[in-house]
Amino acid sequence: MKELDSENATGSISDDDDLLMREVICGEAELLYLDTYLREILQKR
Amino acid sequence: MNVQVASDQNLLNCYLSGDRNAISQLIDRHSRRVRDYIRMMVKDDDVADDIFQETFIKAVRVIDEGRYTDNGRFLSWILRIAHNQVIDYFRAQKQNRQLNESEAGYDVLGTLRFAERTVEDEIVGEQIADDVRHMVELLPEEQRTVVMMRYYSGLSFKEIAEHTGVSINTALGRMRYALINLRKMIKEKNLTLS
Repeated sequence: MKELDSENATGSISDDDDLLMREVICGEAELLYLDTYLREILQKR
Repeated sequence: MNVQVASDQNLLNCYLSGDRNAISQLIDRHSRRVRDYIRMMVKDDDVADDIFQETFIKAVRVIDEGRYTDNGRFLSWILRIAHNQVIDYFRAQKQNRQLNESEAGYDVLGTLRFAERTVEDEIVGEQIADDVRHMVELLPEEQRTVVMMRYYSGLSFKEIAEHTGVSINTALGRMRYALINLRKMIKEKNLTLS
């Protein structure tokens, strides 16, 4: 969580995550949830 | 100041200049999306409210300490904080559950009940995950490729665009449509993701 805390602290977010949030998720909570879910289940394979 | 057209950056600047109202307006502007995301993840309104508050307390603290630099990414940043708070919550839950299992040693039935619920939850959850993985296979090829590269291979959008010979915008668009299509399929099957 240190890395995440650091990210929160400085307000920085990677360009890639920013693209995801702005151009893919577009503020839709359901899509953000689905992205998190897919990341979890597909990386487990 | 006309709040309707004030950008996030303008509101932040106003807040830092002493307008306490500005931060409330900024939070209100994004609260629904943040709250919706948290609620979907934790599936408990009371817990969601707590995490929502913690999220913005953390964010305001960073802003107050002058450690936040706005570059048009405020919502992305807030959602990231909310996501991290949710992950912290799940980790704490997992730790508490492990403690409870060892404490419930005397109550065999209770422990058994707890163990059964956990295993059953896992089985159901894994079945749903299998269904979703199958849905990925049903996506149009271009969308499926982006999903595979993103989630299986962990590639950035820039890398995905390079590998598939398209612009980043096209790669992003395909990803968005993939998620929208998956959402549609999940709803049609009445699945509850957990």
